[in-house]
Amino acid sequence: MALHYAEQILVSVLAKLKAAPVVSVLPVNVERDRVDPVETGVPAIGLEMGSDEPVDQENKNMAFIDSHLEIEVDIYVKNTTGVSTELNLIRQEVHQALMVDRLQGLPAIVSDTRYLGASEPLLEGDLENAAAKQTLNYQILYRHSLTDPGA
Amino acid sequence: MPSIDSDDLAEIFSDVEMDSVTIGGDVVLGMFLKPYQNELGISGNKPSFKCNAVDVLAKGVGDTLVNNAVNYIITSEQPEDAGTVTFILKAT
Repeated sequence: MALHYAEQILVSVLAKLKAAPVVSVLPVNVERDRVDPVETGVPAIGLEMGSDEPVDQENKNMAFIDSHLEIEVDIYVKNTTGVSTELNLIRQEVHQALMVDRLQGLPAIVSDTRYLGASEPLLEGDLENAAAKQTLNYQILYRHSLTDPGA
Repeated sequence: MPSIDSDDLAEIFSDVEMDSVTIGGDVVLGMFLKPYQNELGISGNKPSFKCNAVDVLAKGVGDTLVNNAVNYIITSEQPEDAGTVTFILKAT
């Protein structure tokens, strides 16, 4: 049985983020479902699955469901100077990684990827260096069978 | 409870068990602390140095503190009623 299409999309997005050429500090630590603090390897990126809502369909008799899968890309930086500059360097590359191929390498599943914006950066001064976190939000449109989200 | 006077502070902060750092090139004894800190999902530490205020009258924000060959910049100073001062540090 094929994996849920949402899972296939997240796997593909994670691979793209890991392959992104980051100009700031190599390598960027990329992890899915990050629940523990970033211990080492800052800057780092976390990929999280967001909501997955069906598109309102006029024809309820269709044999498929179109959905909007939201994903969140968290960027973590800690630096002696210029954390917002580092955030911008990394989020530029994240954006390129996800938007150059808006079908996410899954043309039979995904129909488009939309950028939903970035959160205001959170700045923190209670560490040995300035730290910051920013979240980028994307929406991926995909279609699966009415009876099986893996087909 | 008797308060701590300047003689007590001088005795406390001359103890051989105190950490020895340099601030702006001058040796100062005190307590160097570097507790674990987790902010925004990022691990790190929060370095600080507490000492007798009279030992660092001419020291403050912007000075370099060196502890075990690691350099820090004093980014904030917090004077305390007891006659001590705590310097908040950032790694350089």
